[in-house]
Amino acid sequence: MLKSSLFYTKVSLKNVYFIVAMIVTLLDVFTRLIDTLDVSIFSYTKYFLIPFIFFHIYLLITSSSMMHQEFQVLSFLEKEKGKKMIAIVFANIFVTIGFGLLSVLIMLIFKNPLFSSSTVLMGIGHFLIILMTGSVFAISIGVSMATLIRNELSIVVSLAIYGLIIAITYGNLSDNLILNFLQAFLSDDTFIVFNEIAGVLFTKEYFADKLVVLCLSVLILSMTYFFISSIKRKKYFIIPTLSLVAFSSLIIYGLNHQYDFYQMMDVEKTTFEEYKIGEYKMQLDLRRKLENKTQIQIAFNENSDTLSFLLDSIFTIEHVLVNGQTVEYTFLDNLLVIHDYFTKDSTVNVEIHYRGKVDIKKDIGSNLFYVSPYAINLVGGDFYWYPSPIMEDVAKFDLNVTSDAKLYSNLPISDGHLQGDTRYVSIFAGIYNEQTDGNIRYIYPFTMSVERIKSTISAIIDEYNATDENIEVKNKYYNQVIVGTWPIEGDLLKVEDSTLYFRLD
Amino acid sequence: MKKFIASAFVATTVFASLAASAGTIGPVNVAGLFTETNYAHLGSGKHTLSGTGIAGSGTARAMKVIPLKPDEAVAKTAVSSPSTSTDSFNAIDKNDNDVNQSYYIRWTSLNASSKASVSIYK
Repeated sequence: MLKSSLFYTKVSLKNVYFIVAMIVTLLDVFTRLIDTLDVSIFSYTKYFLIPFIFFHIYLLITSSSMMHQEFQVLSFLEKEKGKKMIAIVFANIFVTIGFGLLSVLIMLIFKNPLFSSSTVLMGIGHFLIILMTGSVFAISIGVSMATLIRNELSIVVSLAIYGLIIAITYGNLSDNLILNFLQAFLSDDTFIVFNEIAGVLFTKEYFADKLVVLCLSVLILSMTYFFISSIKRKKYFIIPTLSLVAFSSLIIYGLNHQYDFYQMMDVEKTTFEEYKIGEYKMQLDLRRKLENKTQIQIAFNENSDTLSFLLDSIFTIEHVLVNGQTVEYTFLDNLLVIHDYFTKDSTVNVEIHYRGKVDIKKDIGSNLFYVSPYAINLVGGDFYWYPSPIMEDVAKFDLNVTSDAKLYSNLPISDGHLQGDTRYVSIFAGIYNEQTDGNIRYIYPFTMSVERIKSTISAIIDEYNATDENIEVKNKYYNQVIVGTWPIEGDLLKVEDSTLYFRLD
Repeated sequence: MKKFIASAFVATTVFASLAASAGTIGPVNVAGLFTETNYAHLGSGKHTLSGTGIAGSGTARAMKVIPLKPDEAVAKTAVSSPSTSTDSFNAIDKNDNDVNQSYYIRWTSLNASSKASVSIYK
């Protein structure tokens, strides 16, 4: 089997379309993709679109042409068509692996040396996943069409099917996970503005996308095998059955799945009790999901039978305790209302324990607020990731954070411990570059430069000066600039304590 | 040959970034499964993509022109007749190569008889 696979690999490599695909790839890589590697390792996969398509076309042509051709050298092996099919599939996978290794080598040589090793590993992983998914899918179309049609026409038909799939999905990222499945052989963010700080988040949806295409390919290949193979054994049915089960369960998952899209909340409609926060303590876990145990000290300025906080509805509350006692609460539309009797001038200790997956997208599909092992974007005041009161006053915060990523915040950080007085706490992590210029520390993605950030800030402040708007930003002192994402409804620049937030669009 | 390729690249970059008109796009009528408007240089700042359905439904996207790479959607709004829907985005004046950044609107629909009026304004 291995010998005939290697024979087919050689045949495959001698194909003129392989040379075409390689020329296109190398031209594309050395004329424009190398520059991309300097700013983002994920954008490399995104802009690898044309080489991917050419490589898929090569695989379609070579797998279908080898499948219907008879090779005299191997005629003794080719009596069993099923074996021939498997050998061809493996031969093309070998070529794909070779192609992948070459691309990875290019990535490793020309990447920006400032990227962290985890970023590089994830970038390479993402590239290989997209390459393998697309290639296996192309091979399965090519082989199955050649089996059904058995002449040169199969090449045309398989190219037409591939072209149709590209045409349906090209430039049209859908809200629906099922339609996005079809696009799994290209990077999800090919046609939208990409959040370079987050990179690609390896979420469940990401893998579901790719797995569904792989299951479909395995299903097509195993059905083709049964169609042509002369040996039919019962145990051979395990593979198509398993792939069919996996495929259909993934489709059901996709049909029932909803992405969390950002929706603006009208805070002004809600009324709040009059209270003052004394101290705000958090035990925060930001490794995969967000899990938080908060302890809030609250002093009441009036008698009340409710206590309200803003907290995003994506979270699930484990328990709410007031002075150590379990109390009733309602949690609807980003509003948590605790029902208990609170008297004027009394001080209570409230404990709220909640958790949830944070993966909120903008309506175009790019990442907005997220918590993942390597990228975090939690902007207090825009996203209610902790029970927040509506207040202009500062409170004393004390956070213990468990996370694998390097964190940035408006509060001073030392060894996972954030402490200080502020109105809203924000936490960021991701593919950041850091530079100190004068006495200001800039934390920004590799796609930006300090000069560009500085010129944008001064241009915006000039604009504000002309219109007398947002006087807050122009007179404030800051010693840290963090680039993050938040919805367009918020300002492009915001100042919290001595940190200036700069929105990435 | 090299010169030809180089000049072709430059030509594409220049054409892709040329401003057809400044400030706004439309309102223009778009129809069918796939329609794209002319390019426009919007200048910097927050802009609104707006779509009013005339017949059927579809999706309007504000597209940012990226020379030599697939264009990227910066805003998206689902439009269905007869209502109006909007989405906002932040436009940039110049791209990284200091060339005017152009935008256009892409209309896609699953219904060939769909029709809408789309625009981008500040």
